[in-house]
This record gives sequence, structure tokens and C-alpha cells, in this order.
Amino acid sequence: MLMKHNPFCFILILTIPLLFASACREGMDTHSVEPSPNTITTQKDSAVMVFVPAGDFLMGTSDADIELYKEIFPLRNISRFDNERPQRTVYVDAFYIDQLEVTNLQYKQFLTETGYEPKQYLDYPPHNIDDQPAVVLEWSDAVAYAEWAGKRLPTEAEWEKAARGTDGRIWPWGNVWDPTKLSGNDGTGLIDGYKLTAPVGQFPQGASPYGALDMAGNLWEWVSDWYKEDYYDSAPYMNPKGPETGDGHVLKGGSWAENLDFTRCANRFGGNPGSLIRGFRCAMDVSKQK
Amino acid sequence: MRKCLLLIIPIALLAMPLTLTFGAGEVVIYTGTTQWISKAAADEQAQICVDMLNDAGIKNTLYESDGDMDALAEWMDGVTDDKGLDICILYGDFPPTIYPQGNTAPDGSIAETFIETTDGDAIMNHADWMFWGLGNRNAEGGIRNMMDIPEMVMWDDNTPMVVTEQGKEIAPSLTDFQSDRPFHIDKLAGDWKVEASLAQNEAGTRADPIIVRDGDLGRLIPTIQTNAGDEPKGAVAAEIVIWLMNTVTPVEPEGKLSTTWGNLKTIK
Repeated sequence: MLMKHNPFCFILILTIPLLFASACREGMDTHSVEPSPNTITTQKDSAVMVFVPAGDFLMGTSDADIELYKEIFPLRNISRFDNERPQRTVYVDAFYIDQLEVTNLQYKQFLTETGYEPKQYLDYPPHNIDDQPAVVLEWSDAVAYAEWAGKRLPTEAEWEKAARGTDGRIWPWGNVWDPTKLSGNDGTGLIDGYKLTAPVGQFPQGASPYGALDMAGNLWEWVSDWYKEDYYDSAPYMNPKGPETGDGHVLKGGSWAENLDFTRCANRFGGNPGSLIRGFRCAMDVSKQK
Repeated sequence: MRKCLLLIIPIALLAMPLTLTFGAGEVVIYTGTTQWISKAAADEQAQICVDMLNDAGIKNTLYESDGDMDALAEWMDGVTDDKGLDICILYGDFPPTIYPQGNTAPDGSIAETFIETTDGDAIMNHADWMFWGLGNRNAEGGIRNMMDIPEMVMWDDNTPMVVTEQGKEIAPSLTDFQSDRPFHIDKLAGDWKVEASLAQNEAGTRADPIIVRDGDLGRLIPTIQTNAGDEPKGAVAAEIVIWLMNTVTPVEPEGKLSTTWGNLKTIK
């Protein structure tokens, strides 16, 4: 009735989806740390979150990727990549994800406000500087923070989509390795400028298609899924949340101590992660934000 | 009788250094706790190693349970300074019974004492950063304290390792691979030296496997430092052990002669 009598209203309704789509595209292209129409800032922990739209994306590693990996990693056993296969199309609902890894400033705020006693949080120099990513070695300590902040850990699928967009790229910035685009390990600390972790957000040139930073390198990141090596064989198409149980939880993204292989978006570790240095970022449902 | 003694003593003096130097060594493999490699993969590789050592007639014991940590410590303590070359093989973890966790005893641990005698005892490690310890018990400090080299690190994944001529000779099972926690040769300091580099990068700054030795004291042998279970960790470990057991360097005869003569006088 309203539309019948008001042509402007009709135009407005047509325009909203276009504006939304445009905003999404803008988000995919942006490499800026500055807030944009596709970012929100959460009240509890003052974290900027970037918007990842609903839809399909390519998750895992394809046969074509394997051929490429044979060139990039000629000495690596190809079986190393088995847990990332088969590559498949996965749908995830729209969500927000922290643009940056959770920092010590944020994690300590959580500890102060709640009195929570983490099992393994590295609260000593040089790891505990305010703008450095919080080294949280236990998955449950990351979950506790997320709950306090009114958020949750991303699923593995959400994390991977936020990191590589929809086109199945190898690293967040594309398919060409570039050690200047992440806090990684070149053996010297001279290329990226940091011998250990970098303060969060130092590599805007390595941003993901949605504007998330440090998805490759700096710290391995916890996600909510249990780890099971062959999960991709049976994972659902819609919003996969991981197996019911498994061998530890999944870690993604590599760290300051890693290089080409482990910082690939599709790489996944679980079970017994050993010397891997771990942190996390949070996600949030769009409905919750509303 | 006196003539007989005059004949026996010189023979004994010559023979004893050899018997002391080449004392039968033992190997212990511990898979009770593993790091950056699944226990199943570690057990599989350890069994390959055991089978090859058995074939070579080398005494060995496989500790497969985390309940064996105390037995491991007891064994290590017992064979330290026993004049035999003994080797402990670990799969990523560094049990707190032989090195108190959190670097609370940076010097004088059972493990450090094990590699600080002229026995030449060795600790071999597969998979993760050597002596890191499960749950970051020791982190970087483990190897730094064990070697007394504050700058030592074991990062640099995807480092191509090309088998050296020496590597081909010592470990025929070893093939080129990518190491994720290679040994940093360029960080060696003090009396530590490379005894044998089996595979290394082009620049010669990273190696894996490698045998490094602290002067004439003990050895560390990082061997195939990757998280994968499909590389020949067990076979290469056995081949290195066999090579070491067969080629262990005798102690300088002069020094040993005086020690032996001192021993004889004490016995008399």
C-alpha cells in the first residue's frame, strides 16, 4: 500500500540491496585499518570487526593447488596436505570477525574485570606488551575471553573465508608469496622488521579481501572446531562447525616463526601443536550485532 | 710368576684404553609423550628404529608410556659417565624427570649431566624444536640452557635440506626434504662443533640431521625436525646410532694410559 502511493519508497527499497552489495564490495577491496561502513566496534573490548557477507567460498586445497605446491614445496611430501582435502564449496552465513588478533591490552582488561585465571597465558616480556597479540596457549582461555566480550571464536570455515575470500587464494593477499606482507620468519627478522611477533595491524598490505589483518603469520589462531584429520570428507556444505570431538582444536594461519607453507589460508593444525605460538581473534553473528 | 706379571701388565695397559673407550653403549627410545608428531606416528617410527638396532646387535629399550618417565631418568642417571656411548632418542617432548620444567634448573639437570661427560653420550630428537617441552614448558630456554648458548634458536620452516656426501654415507635412508625446525649451525658457540652434517641448506647455515658435539663431551642430534609421520625418522635414527657406535673416537692414548695406570695403582 505504501509503495503503491509512494514511488520514492519503492526506489528506496530497490536501492538498499544495491548499497549493501556495494558496501560489501568495498569491504572486499579495502586494505585499510580505518573503520569503514563494513566495520563495527564492539563496546566491551573496543575491537574493530569487519563484515564478511553470507555466501559460498572455496575451502581447502584442490588438485590444482597440489600441482602448484609441488613447485613451491618440491621437497615436501604431498601427503602433508591430505587433511586440507578435498577442496569444496562451503556456505557460511554473514558474520563479523575481529580485524586484529586480540591484544594483551584487551586480554588483561578481561582478566582484571573477571578475575579469570588463565591456564596458559604468557604474561611476561616481550610477549605481554599492550599492542602485541595475546599469547593464549589454551583453547579454553580463548573461549573464556570471547564469552566475556559477547562474542565467540570463529568456526574454521568462517576463519578461512575471512582470510582468503571466495576465490581460493593461497595467502590473504593472493597467490604470490611475499614475506613483506606478514609477520613471518625469514630467518633474520630483517624483512618484516620483527624478530618475534609484531604489534597487531602492522601489515595492511597483507590484508584479506574483507580487511582482516594478520590472518597470515604473527600468531597461530584458535578456532572453535575440534580437529579431525579427515573431517573434510564428511563436512556439511552449510555452516560447518567441525566434528563432534577430535584431537584438540584447529589452529590456523601460522605465526611469526613460520613461512610459506604454514601461513597458507588452507593450512590446518590440530592435536598436538607443540611449539606453535597461539593466539586468537573473535567472531560474532550479524543478528547479535543488530 | 713375576715374569708373568711383567708380561701381563703392559698388555693390560694397552688393552684397557680400548675396552674402556669402546664400552658397550645402550640406546633408549622414549615415546611416552610426543610433541608436534602424533604418538601413533612416533611409535611406528620408533619400532622401525628398534628393529634395525636389534638387527645390528645394539642393546636398546623402548619406553612407550608416559609412566616410563621415571625409568628414563633412572636409566639416564645410571649410564652417565659409565664409559659407554649411550643415546637417548626423543620425539619432540623433553620429559620433566630429566630436565625440570620451566627452566627451573638451567644447569645440572640429569639430561645436561648426561651430555657433559667424556662418554660422548647423545640426545637425539625428532619432530619439534629440541627441548621445547609440551605446553611450552621450557620454550626457547630449553636448548639454550642445555647448550649454554643464549642465542640458539630452531626456527625456519620450509628450509630445504640437501643430503651431504657424509649424510649419504652415514644414513642411506635419508633423502632431501624440508626441515621446519633445523639446527642453526651459525649459532654454535663455545666448544660446540659440528661432528657430522648429514643434510643442510645451500648456505650451510642450517642442518638437519646433524651431530654436534661439545668439545670431547656429549652430543646433540636433531634428526628430521618436521611434524610429518611419513618421513624416515626411525630408519635414519638407527643408521646414525649404528654409525656412531661403530666409529666412536677413542680417547687420546696418552691421557688414557695415565688414567689406567692410576686405576691399577688404586686397585693394587
